[in-house]
Amino acid sequence: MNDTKHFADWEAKIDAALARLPREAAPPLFLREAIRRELQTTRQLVVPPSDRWWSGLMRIAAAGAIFVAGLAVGRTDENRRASAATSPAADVQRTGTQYVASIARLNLAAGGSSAERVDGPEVAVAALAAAAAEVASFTPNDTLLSQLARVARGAREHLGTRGNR
Amino acid sequence: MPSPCGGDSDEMHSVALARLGDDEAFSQLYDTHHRRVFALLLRLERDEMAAAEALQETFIQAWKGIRAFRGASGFGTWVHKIAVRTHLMRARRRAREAVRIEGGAAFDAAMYLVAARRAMPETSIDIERALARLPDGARHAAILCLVTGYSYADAAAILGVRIGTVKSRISRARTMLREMLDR
Repeated sequence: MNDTKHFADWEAKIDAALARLPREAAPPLFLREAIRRELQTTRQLVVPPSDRWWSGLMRIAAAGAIFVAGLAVGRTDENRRASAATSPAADVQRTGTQYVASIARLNLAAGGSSAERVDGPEVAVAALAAAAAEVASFTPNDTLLSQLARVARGAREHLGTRGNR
Repeated sequence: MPSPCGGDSDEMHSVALARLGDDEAFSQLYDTHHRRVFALLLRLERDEMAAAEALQETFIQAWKGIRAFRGASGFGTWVHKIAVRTHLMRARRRAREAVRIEGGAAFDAAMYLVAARRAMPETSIDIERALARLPDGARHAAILCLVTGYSYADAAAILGVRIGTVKSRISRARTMLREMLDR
């Protein structure tokens, strides 16, 4: 009897926990324009007059445009999945996730060898600093991005100095 | 089919305009539904880029077939149905490829959880991890019924299986989740 009640309690808890999970998630930002352009190309959507190359809508993030270009090239290929997966914006998204996942694994391994504990953060921050420098070079006049690159470079130098002690 | 994802007369107006290729109607319908569809696909695909590709395929399929949408269910439910079918087709394709490429169908739990945390910052990583580890049938049923809120009958219609199959898969999912989370 107790087992049955225990099981029923667990079942209710699991159902409640699953029902509390978010039902919405944010997809990569470039997707909206990619889908829209694809639908325009196949004439499922009519291009509005204001949507010419000089309009504001064309000033979308470069990543979105590159992604669509990747799709357009891949359309002749039967395997469109491969073209979407190899577009530069998608590549940044995927490798960015890989980077963060690798750091998460590094955290799990933090109890491991002392070399991992010392080298791990240094390698992680070096990659972060290099990425921040590249991103800042997109828009050299963006103060916030320049600050981000400067802070990341400072963190890399700080860890490098600590490692050399 | 009752919808866990809304639907009203304004939406039917947007659908009518979308059938004519109206760009604004696309934006309206996409903006209303894409986040729910992406959450569903992220959990089904367990890979951020695969979910993004599936979302793209889903909306393109939806627009190609929008003339066939009669409004018997909400637009969101209709798009969810397309999303699940898109996922199932992709999964079958991957399974075929996995026969040729050893290990091709495996998923990377660490990558998935990073993507899930980024796309749904308020989610429970322990529950997402356990859910992602369920076998496909139990996972699909649990995602549709226990997370998204579909009835067993609706989930059965979406998955193309009998209600009894959905019930047994849910029961299996609960048992396995209990074992994983009780450790």
